[in-house]
Amino acid sequence: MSKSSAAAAAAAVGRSATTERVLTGLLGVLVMVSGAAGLVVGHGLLGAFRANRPLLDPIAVNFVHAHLLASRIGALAAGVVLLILGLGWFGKALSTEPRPDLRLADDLVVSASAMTDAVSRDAESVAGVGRVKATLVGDKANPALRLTLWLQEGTDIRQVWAQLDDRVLSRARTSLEAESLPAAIRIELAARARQRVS
Amino acid sequence: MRFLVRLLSVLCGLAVAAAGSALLIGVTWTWLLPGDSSLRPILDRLRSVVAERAWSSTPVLLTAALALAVGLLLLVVAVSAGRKDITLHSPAPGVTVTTSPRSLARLVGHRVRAADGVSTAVVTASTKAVRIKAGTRLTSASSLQPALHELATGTVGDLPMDRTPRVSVTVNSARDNR
Repeated sequence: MSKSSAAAAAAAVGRSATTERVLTGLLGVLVMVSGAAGLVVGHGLLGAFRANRPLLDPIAVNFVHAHLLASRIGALAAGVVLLILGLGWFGKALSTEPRPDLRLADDLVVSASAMTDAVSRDAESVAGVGRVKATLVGDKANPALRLTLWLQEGTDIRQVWAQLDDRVLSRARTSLEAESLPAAIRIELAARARQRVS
Repeated sequence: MRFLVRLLSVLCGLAVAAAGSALLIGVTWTWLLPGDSSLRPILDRLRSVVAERAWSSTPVLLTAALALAVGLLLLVVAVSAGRKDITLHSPAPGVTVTTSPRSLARLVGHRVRAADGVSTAVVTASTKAVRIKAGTRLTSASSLQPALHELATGTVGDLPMDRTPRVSVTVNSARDNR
């Protein structure tokens, strides 16, 4: 539990962009390599004969015509793979982060917003904390708490630390009767107090 | 950069899906309806472009150079979109605490600007270093620099950080320049 809770807390710091980064990076490498290959061929580094052949080389066209069925099946398979990959990538990038509800018992579910409202109120009562934003992240089986605290200028951070675990996190844990609730806390230092028009 | 990589992901995902469906439509169409001529103009145009241009022609070389640049850009965005959060001490097991470099810079900036003699201050912060460029009108740089360095080091040291960043201060004094 402790290992997974530490990992869950680290993952709750922010939404993961790993899939998007890896796919974008791979596409970048692919596009870059094909561009470089085109330059190498076009500048005649693979021989002047190759450089002066047309893009749609009759040699390649003849090859495709000789293996027409295999080429068509290959092209269709590539099309399906590209379509699924592209839609999945698109959907992943556009999807919102899940906000799981907490299941305490079989017939008792605490909604994510009820939970985060309670935590926000507790956190706002800590001295020096100006504004709080709490969200539940992760999946249903392993929910985690993400708490953003805007600390006012001149706040003693160590004091906030001491109260944070005593008053906010431990209360959340006991009210949920959970041994551990992985939490990622983001601190905004020296935040300007919110201006309210009265 | 994290927003940019998400935006690019949306665009690239659409482009890849569009390429896949174009391939699917083109191949099934020509396979199932060999005599049908409704796609013929598009295919003919495509063929006339790729069948006549040589690899060494200028448009092909330009396109290849553009692809090289775009690919490099995608790679740079993907690599640089990592998290830049500063990790603070954890108050309890299973809890991580982070702050943003911008927020650390804001804190240090507030303190430095409040110091005697400082008229302007620009602060940049990362996990490794905090750099301060201060400007003063009344004091000489040599007298202000050690005081600011001490102030900034103290401010940064007060934060319960896993790794204390290096602090560097440069002072530009209008009095010295006179």
